[in-house]
Amino acid sequence: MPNSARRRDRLVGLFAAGALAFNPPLLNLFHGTVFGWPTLYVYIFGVWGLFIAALALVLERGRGPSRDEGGDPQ
Amino acid sequence: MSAPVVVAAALVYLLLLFAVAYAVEHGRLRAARITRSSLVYTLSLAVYCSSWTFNGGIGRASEAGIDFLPIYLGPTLALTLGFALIHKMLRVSRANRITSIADFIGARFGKSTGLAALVTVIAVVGLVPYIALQLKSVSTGLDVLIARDPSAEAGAPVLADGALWTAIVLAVFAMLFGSRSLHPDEHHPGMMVAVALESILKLVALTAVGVFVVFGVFHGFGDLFARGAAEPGVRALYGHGGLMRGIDWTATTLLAMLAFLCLPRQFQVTIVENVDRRHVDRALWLFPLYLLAINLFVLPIAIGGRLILPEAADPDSLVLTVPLTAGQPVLALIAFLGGLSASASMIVVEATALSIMVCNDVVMPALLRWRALGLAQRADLTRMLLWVRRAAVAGLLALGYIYMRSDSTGYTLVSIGLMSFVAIAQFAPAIVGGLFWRGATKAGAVAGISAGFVVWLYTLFLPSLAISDFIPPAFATDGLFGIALLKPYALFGLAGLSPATHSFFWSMLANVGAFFSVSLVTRPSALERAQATLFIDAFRFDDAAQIWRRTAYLPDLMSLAARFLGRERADAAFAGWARNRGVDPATTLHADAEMVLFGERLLAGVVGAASARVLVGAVVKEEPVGVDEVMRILDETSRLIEANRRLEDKSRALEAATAELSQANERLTVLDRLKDDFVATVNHELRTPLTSIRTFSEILRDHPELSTEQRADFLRVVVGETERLTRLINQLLDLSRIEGAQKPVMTAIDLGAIVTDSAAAMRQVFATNRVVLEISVPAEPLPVMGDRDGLIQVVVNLLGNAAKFSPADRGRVRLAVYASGGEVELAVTDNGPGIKPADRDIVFERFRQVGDTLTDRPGGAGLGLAISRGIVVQHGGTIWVEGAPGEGAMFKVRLPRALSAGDSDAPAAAAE
Repeated sequence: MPNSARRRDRLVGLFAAGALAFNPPLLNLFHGTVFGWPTLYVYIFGVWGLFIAALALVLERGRGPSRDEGGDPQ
Repeated sequence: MSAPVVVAAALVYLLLLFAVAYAVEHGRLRAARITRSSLVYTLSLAVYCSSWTFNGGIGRASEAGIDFLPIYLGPTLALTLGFALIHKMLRVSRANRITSIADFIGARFGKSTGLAALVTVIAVVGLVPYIALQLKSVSTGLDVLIARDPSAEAGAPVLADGALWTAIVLAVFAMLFGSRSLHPDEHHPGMMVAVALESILKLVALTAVGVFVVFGVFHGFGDLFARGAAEPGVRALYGHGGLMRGIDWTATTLLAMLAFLCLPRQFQVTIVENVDRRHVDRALWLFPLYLLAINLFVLPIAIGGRLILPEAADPDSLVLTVPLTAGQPVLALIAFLGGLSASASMIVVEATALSIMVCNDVVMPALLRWRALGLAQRADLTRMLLWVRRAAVAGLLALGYIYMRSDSTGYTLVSIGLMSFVAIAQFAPAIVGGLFWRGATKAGAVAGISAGFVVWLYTLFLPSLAISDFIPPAFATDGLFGIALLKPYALFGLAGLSPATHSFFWSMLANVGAFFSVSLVTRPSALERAQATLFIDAFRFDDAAQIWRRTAYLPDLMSLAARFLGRERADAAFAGWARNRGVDPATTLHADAEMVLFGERLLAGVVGAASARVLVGAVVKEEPVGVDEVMRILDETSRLIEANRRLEDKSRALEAATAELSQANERLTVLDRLKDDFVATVNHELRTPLTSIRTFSEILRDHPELSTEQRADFLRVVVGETERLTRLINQLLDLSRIEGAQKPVMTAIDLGAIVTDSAAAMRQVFATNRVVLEISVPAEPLPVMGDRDGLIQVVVNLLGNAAKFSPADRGRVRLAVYASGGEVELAVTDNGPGIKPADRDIVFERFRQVGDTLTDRPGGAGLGLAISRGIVVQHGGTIWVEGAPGEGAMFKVRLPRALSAGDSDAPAAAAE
């Protein structure tokens, strides 16, 4: 599979995971506090951070000197 | 804090920003190189975080907890999914020099001026509340810092109105940045650097306040959250639940996704100001990281504010009041500058983007069509363009100010911002549909955007004014004419959602519904189809707009460009283009279609695609669209053409096959006839000796009285005919062996040796016929790849013929072999009657003999030469006959020489 197509698929997968994680009903599972911190706050920012890390991994790994015009997604 | 100090700090900060921008644009800054980095690009995307984030987000968090976040999760998700979309928009905009969202939509749907103007009007109306939000937040901030009571302002003179001065200063600031000069590509590197710096300050200021609240006022996060949990009112902020709240959350996320892609200022920074497409990849994750960072302390500040401030405190200015209450005026001032940065960057970029839209898509098309003004004939329009833009900026800020005044008490910052988001989201169906759906038509886009806009007006914008006296408040509370079903906030009885979600649902329903249904029932024009292909297949066609056969006088085109870009820029642009194409503009008089297109795109960068088309239309000779060209561009048609072409190819192939077949058939017929001839000939050739054998045998049987001498004579005839029969059968076998394509084993052999051997075998025949045989064989070997027996047969056949046809006693036959170039030749020459030129091909055919076969039948069936030819052809050689009639015949055989001479002798010798 070409690099760009694989990357596109990964991004779509990430989007789906993020859309699920950042919305009810998963969101409603988190309430109250954990170790005194609001669980919801910890959950959202934690998942957000992981999401961005995954995004960075997907986007930066595909970068290289070989990647030029041909790397455009179709 | 005293008013002069705060105002002076704000002004100095703004001037400093402008100085940096100025230095960048004039190359004075050594670090100007970094302005083209992905970091600056990412930070400029952060213009998304306006006062809404800085002041409104905290206000929202203090009232509804985590609910402020969908506005930032939306762009995070939008960037993840919009990766392909953004790259496509970039490609399309770059290729067509699109400089605004209105231009983009207008260009997609057939370079429509009307649609672009519609988009512009909606953007202006939709964003006026957003601009008002910024003004409101800055003026509130001023009031908080100076500790002035805003309610006392009502009676104060206009000149003392902080918001008015804010609007004026920011308008000037926006003009300085955005419309100081014209650029064909609308790049504003200075503005981008200023925005990036402001983004850094926003983040630093908010983080500083956050750190102060968490670690200065409280003892870390644990303490802050624990004390918050103790208060029932604050503890409610920790949770999230309920169906309606969930719907609001998801709808707001979706709304933020769409708005992030469609906001004019985001389009400006993401698409127009982009200098390198690879920056997008970096920004795709770096920008969400910025969003995360700037929101990290929002909830802690909000909780801290709720804990240390009285209930009545304005939630939208918590970021200022918390440090002030805690006795940190300097921190409050930094926070104020952060908020000012957020407002200023938003207003500058949004006003610049909107002023480009207003100028290019509304004002200029109108002015250019207004013939009485004679604008189309004006020599230099650059100054006018700039003034139109400056006026647009001033007008926008004025509208924002008026809206703010009329709405100053009604809404929190976030609900005002959401109102604008819903208006801007109306562009999303047309943009996304336009980029991916070929069937989207201009009528569909107009219908969708208009329908969505009208619903937005009714369900969100008008009620916001109704609360503030312009329209009777009863409109908002009781519905139009008091009809409960028409309540703006609960249309058709849909209650329970927040106003923004409610309006988002109904407007999108109307928008998407109208867009699709009208697109499905209307047909796009040729220009729309062509543009659709350019947009949808952006990655396939790099530069494919050669549909319009337009030509123009180059001087006309150049002076047109010069009027809008200035003479120098226009000349430079044309010269650069011409250099790439190898054309000399000085000697060229006629601009071809490509050059006209270049000129149009150049203009499009300054005045928009729709206006550029009108302008260029005035100087070009436009031939009606060539049907062929349009067909070529349109994809569904081109697919048809493709299929058609393939069909043609196939039918051509079929024709060829048919022709081959009929040829083969003809050949078969000929072969069939030849076979019949052959059978007949063989039949005859076999019958003749058989008949004579039978006849003589019968005579011998029936006439015992014959003399011994006669018997001997008759028996000699019988034996002779039997021999002839045997020879004939042998030759037929030879022939069938050769024609049966049974390739003999080829070895490297010396042709000289074969000739010598054959001549030796034939010596007796020559002696009997009393013919002299001369042989000429070179000393060095003449290697050929061949079958020894076959080649001997050829030579023997040729020699036999020569002996036969040479006159007795004075006959001379010469046999020679020699190398000729890369080949080996063998020649047999006799001094017999020779062969007439007309017969020279025939002699090689089966059973063909030249001359009178009845009188002259020297013991051959006429198969010798046919066999010889078969053998020679098997060896990859040729055989032919030369010589004039009467001078004897010369048979020549040419065979390819074997590659290596070394391995020629040994096998030949071994085979002896």
